[in-house]
Amino acid sequence: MIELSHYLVVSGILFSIGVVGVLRRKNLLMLFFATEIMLNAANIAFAAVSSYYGDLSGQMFAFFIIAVAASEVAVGLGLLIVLYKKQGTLDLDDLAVMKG
Amino acid sequence: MESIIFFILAFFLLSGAIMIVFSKESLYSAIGFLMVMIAMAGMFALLHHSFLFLAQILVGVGAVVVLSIMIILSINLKEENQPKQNITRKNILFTTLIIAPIAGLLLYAIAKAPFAFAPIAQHFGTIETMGKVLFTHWVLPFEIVSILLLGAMVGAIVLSRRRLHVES
Amino acid sequence: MDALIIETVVKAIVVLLVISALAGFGTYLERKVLAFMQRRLGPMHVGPFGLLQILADGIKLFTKEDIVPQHANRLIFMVAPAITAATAFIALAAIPLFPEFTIFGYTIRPIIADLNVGILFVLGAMASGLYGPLLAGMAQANKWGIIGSARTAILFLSYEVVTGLSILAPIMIVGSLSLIDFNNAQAGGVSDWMVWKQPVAFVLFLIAGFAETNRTPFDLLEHEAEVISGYATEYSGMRWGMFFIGEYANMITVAFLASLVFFGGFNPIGFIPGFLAIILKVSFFFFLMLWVRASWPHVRPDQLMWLCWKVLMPIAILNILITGIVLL
Repeated sequence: MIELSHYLVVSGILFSIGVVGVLRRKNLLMLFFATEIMLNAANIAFAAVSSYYGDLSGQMFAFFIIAVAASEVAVGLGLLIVLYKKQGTLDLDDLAVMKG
Repeated sequence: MESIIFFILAFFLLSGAIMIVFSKESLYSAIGFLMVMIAMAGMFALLHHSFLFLAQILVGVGAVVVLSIMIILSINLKEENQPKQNITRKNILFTTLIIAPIAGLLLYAIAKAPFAFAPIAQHFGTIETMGKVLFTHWVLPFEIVSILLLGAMVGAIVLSRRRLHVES
Repeated sequence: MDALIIETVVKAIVVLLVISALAGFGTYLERKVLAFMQRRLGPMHVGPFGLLQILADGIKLFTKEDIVPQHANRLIFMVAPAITAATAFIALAAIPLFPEFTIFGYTIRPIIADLNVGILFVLGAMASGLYGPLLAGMAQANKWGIIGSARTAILFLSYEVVTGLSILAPIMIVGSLSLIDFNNAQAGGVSDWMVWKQPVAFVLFLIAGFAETNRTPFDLLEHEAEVISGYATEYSGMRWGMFFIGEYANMITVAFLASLVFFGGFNPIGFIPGFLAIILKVSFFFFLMLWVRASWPHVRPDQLMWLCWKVLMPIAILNILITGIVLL
């Protein structure tokens, strides 16, 4: 039988993979994907806890997270395109133009 | 039955995430992202949260991943254009340091209790109940999120228009 | 529990087989109807009235060599057609196809998954169908494919908005997202049909449905005069056939949605029993799609976007506003 802990474990592993992705990848788009994974991991935990307590607040949080993730993608990908047009690369190391 | 579905979904979720992090080709990463999104929707459906399921399908699968794949298409991200990724020892150590507390928390959570789900009430998580709660108890965050979305929309439009000004 | 699983599996297999066969038959009908509208005969050589043409086409598709281009991304190239076909059939799963009937003393509800959010699920699943063309176009190393997939993303993302908004007004009137509730709300004969209350929403839904099923006034994804065959340029054999089956299954889905939401669903009309009524309605919408294909030219991509964002979406929002004010 599936219990709350199963969902929490999946959520935790997913979040860890997201953290690894953020630390490991140097491509901006992949960073986006990794942050999205982390947001989704939080979503699973919220939804599962909401079911566990029979409280709708968890689902509300998950819903707001989905909305915020969508707006993040809209603006972030727009910025990414502008950046690519200007610099011709998405490598994070090449973008360190402020370095003295 | 439920546990079989859960494990299949969890498999897709985690393998999709691993595909994002470790695949060299960006298109495979996007496919992994798609798998994560769809498996997430499946998880919500398994928890009987039909509203979240729909939101995930319509927003996550229907829009977010499409936009990312569009980006890959339009800037032609190929394997050879990808930055080199060196796995240094410092990197690994740092990652472990960050993940260790999460893993500890997880172990604590598993060791804690059986955590069986209570039987789900009839209308829990349906669109009707969600709508009622959303427009009474959560109306202020809802409005703030709508303003955020509006701002994001205007921002995206401004960003994409700016290119035209530069050219002209 | 076990009986439910077996029943669902049987229903799914039946729907899969019947709709696939109908997709084949649909191509025959399409060619015949187009031919008669253009004063030709259409397929005549194989069998009586060319009826066995379907079989010949099937044999040809199945035995054709399966070519994967050299620089294509093999895995995605091979998976993409399956996505199109699969999403089309997943969308069909939440549609109540016929009224309940009893066979061998066993009552069957001809719906694979009775979701309480059926209508949005169907729209969402159909919208996810864009991954087929999108990934197919990107996986083949071909510039027409790239253009085709870019057009796919733009068209689906834009018209998804219009379908969602147009169907919101009927949802507000009925107060439910279940397609069975939609059907039951229009049980009182022809005068009860939703199309009389929501004519604007119906027209919007039909136009957006044409766009989402990639039918002719909007079939820019594979417009052969501009982009060879768009996303399907490099495909051959059964992989191409799967795109085709997906497209026809989507047409049938849209026809079912239109008749369930706006035209009284499977309620009997006078002396016509329910299951015949819905077959007639679906056939009419199918015919309408062919009719439009025969009579309208393609639009340009910029006209397509203009139509969506500057004409259809404002009208849809106005329609929702007015419906809301009237309902209050």
